[in-house]
Amino acid sequence: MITVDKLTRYFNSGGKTIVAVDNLSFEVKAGEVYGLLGPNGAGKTTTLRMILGLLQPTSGDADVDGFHVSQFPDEVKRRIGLVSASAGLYQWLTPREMLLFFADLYNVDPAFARERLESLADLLDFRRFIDQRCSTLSTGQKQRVTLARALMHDPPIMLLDEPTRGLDVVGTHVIFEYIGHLRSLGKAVVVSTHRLDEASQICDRMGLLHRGTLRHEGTFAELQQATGCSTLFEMFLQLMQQSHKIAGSLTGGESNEN
Amino acid sequence: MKTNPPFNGPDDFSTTPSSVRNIDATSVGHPSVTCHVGYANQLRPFSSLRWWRMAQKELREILRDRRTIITLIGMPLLIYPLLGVTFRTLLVTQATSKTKTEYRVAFVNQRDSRVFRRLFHEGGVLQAKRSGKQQLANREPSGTPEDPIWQFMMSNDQESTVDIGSFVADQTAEIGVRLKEGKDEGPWDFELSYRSSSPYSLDARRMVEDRLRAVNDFVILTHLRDLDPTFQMPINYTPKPIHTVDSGPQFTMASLIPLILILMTVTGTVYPAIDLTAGERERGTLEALISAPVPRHELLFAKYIAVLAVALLTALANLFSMVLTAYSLGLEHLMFAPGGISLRMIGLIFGLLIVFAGFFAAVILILTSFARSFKEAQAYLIPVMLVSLAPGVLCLLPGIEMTGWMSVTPLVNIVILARDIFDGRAQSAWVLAALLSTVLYSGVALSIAARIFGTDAVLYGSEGSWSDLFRRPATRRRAASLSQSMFCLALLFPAFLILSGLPGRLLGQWVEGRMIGNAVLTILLFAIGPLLFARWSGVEWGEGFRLRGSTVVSFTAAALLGLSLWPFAYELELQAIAPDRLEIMKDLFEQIKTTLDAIPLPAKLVTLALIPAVCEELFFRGYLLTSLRTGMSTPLAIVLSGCLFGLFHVIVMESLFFERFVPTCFLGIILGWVCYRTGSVLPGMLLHTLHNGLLLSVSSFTNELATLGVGTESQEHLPTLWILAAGTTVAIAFLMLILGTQRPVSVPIVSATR
Repeated sequence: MITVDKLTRYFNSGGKTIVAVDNLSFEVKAGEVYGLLGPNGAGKTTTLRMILGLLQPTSGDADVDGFHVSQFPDEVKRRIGLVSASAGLYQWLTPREMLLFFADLYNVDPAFARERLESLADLLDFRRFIDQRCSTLSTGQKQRVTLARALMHDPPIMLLDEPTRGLDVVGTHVIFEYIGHLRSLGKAVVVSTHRLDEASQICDRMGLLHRGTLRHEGTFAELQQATGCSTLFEMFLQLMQQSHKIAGSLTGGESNEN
Repeated sequence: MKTNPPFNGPDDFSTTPSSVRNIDATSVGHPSVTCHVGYANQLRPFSSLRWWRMAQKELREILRDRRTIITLIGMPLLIYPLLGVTFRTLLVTQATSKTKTEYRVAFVNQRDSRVFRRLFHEGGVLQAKRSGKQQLANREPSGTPEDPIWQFMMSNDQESTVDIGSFVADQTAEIGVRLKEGKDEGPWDFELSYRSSSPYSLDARRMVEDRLRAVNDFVILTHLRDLDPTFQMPINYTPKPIHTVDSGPQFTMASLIPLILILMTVTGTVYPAIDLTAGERERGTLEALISAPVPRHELLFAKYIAVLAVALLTALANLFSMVLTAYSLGLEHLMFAPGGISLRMIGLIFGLLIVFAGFFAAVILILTSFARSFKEAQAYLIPVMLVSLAPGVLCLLPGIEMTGWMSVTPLVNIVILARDIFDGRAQSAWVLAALLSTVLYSGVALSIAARIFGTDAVLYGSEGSWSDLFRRPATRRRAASLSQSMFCLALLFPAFLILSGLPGRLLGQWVEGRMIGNAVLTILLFAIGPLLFARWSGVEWGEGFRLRGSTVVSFTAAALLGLSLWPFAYELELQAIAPDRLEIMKDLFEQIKTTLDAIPLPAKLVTLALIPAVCEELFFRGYLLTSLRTGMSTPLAIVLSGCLFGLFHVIVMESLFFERFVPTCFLGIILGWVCYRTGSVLPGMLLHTLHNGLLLSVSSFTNELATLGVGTESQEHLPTLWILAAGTTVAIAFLMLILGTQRPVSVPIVSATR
């Protein structure tokens, strides 16, 4: 479903070149939940943005459902649903208006969009406030609308950027259920997170990202074997200590995450 | 805490097969893909109205915000009546104070008063005699500044020690009069006290002095005449006031109105423009919007339409409130042209505001698309608003007239145009230039805004991406994009307008020099300029200008058309020409002919037929038409390029020849069609050259033709036989083109090679 091929992205900041993502390659199959793990500034968000075509890679390319993002950006966007922790809602619109608007942006047939809205309202339980202005909604209610927005066009691929950031237990639980549901529908899901406890619960496979490069990849068991650590937390500590020793003189790894 | 189960609905909400329509693999231009079943978006064939639905959503969002309504629409409805009432009160106060120009003269005793008043009255009568207004001398003064009311006052204290100056100092009187030596017979010596710092008192002193001098003059004259009865004063004069209707350099309320209206329209664009771009970035909805498979320029265009709609709503509220206030308070004659307000004028002004709002909204969207937050956007906009005030105020100065430069200077041209419409004197050729250039600038501004809007530099604040905006594209294009060609046109049009007068200015009466100058200018503007611009913007010359060979059939047909189209162009021009313009045109034609007669025909053919034909074909048919066809249907592109071709020919030497529009458009459309059928500009160049050349030759051989019974001046319409012969030739040429050329395929935009 997704093939990331040697994606690289440099940023210029104050005359210095910073490597945000360095020669990153991985694959995600349909029905698989892939965790992109790493500390803040590892390049997770930058990677997701490049897959979606929001950021131009310095080199490399991503292939989504057979389309190269550099050549067919709109075909790629059509096939991806994005959930981002920083996403906002249109304050003066109701969830119904907003979701139908996004369906229209994705060229969803209006009749089908209305059907879809009904089923999502039941699934994500926002029927009660579907006709309230978004400005009056609580954080949890907003989250449900954001999740619904990404699914209005029923994309085969979902990109979730730090979906649990700033959420309480209930909110986090909603995300877990949501991801499980996406997996059951056979969607290819990429989740970026720095919450290691969550990752081991929801991801089928994961990639450990540090300073823009992929250090380890595999299932949780495979990672344990490869690193000799029992928890993701230990793996991370190990990674960071190694990089301090090896590349103490190198700069980089800072990113532009919001 | 009650927790809702997050997923309590039907478990499977994936689409049922019946509601799924797969994307046709060929329709997305990717033959190898097998489409994913179970996802809902299909390419709907007619999504062209989506920008309108998007704009509706933006508008709904803006208009639900009550603050917008209050500031943009409620404010003008309140402000104008308030301003109007204040203004009227001011006028009334001025008017009443004017009728009562009154000077007070104080005396210390009866004798002073008696002597002075006698002399003062005598002086008044003498003055009136001198200016020929004898009958007016003894009537009541009208109280105007020229004819004030005089009040004479006596000090209550009759002591001679009273200081008359104190009355003047405490403003009881404007003038204090005291006889230095008290006697009833002259000569008298008066002391006139006045306040040197008060213009009012100074005026009174001047008028008193004038009257006393009149008496002195009379006495001197009488004495002189006693000595010499023939004596005449060496100088005599009569002041003659000229009352003008137009206020001249006076600064009136009317000259402020265009600026006020434009400012109010500007305020109408600012808030929605920020809200829909930088505001959206700040609220975190921009990323979701950019993630949708909608071209950024379409997203921005929808926002532009919404901003424009709000701006026009504001403009309409302002205009409505202003006109209503002026009308109900009876101020319309003060504020507008002598004719007052007419519906036509309101329509014109609103039309102008549409054009202006269109321009300003586009410019503001560039800045707000650039900004990452509401605050940043405001910081960018304040200098722009201040800068745009400057030309607005400049235009209010008297003596600023619409000229070449003014008409293509953004903002300045619109303010001047608005002023001229209010004054009822907007008829010059520059109106068209001003409107057209503003529309072109709006297009350019919009395309720049679309390039900036939603770039990762704005979205994520990544530096270094700004240079990407101005980087030459890596892919070579086979046709200029619509925004590129509009950009080129927006540069070309004002340049053409300003520079076309240059050879005449520089080279004066040197006809050969002017012809060469014009030819060089044509080559620079219509050939070299577009070619260089195309090279810079990555457009292939061969494809982008349709520079490629064509068949013998195409060239033959083009030659036939070149020889046979001119009677139709001529007849069309005769139809379009107004009777009163006919004489002017004839004179002009004669004038041009006389000037050109001295030049040998081959030289004329090269500079006036060949070079313009080749260069104009290169630009209008090669570059522009090819580019227009990437963004619209071919018939529309042909008509549009033909009309633009016509417009360029309407403005000649700082005046308008609307007569030329229809025939030139007609020719432009045929040339466009020929280029489309043959797929090349070369046959069109042949056609155009022959057409121009034939017209030139005809005018050179007028005398020879006249002997054959054909006269260009004596006989207005061409002989029917000529028309028939030309018509048959045109029909044959059309048939040759239709049957002899293949129907061309649509324009591919980007070449496959990277």
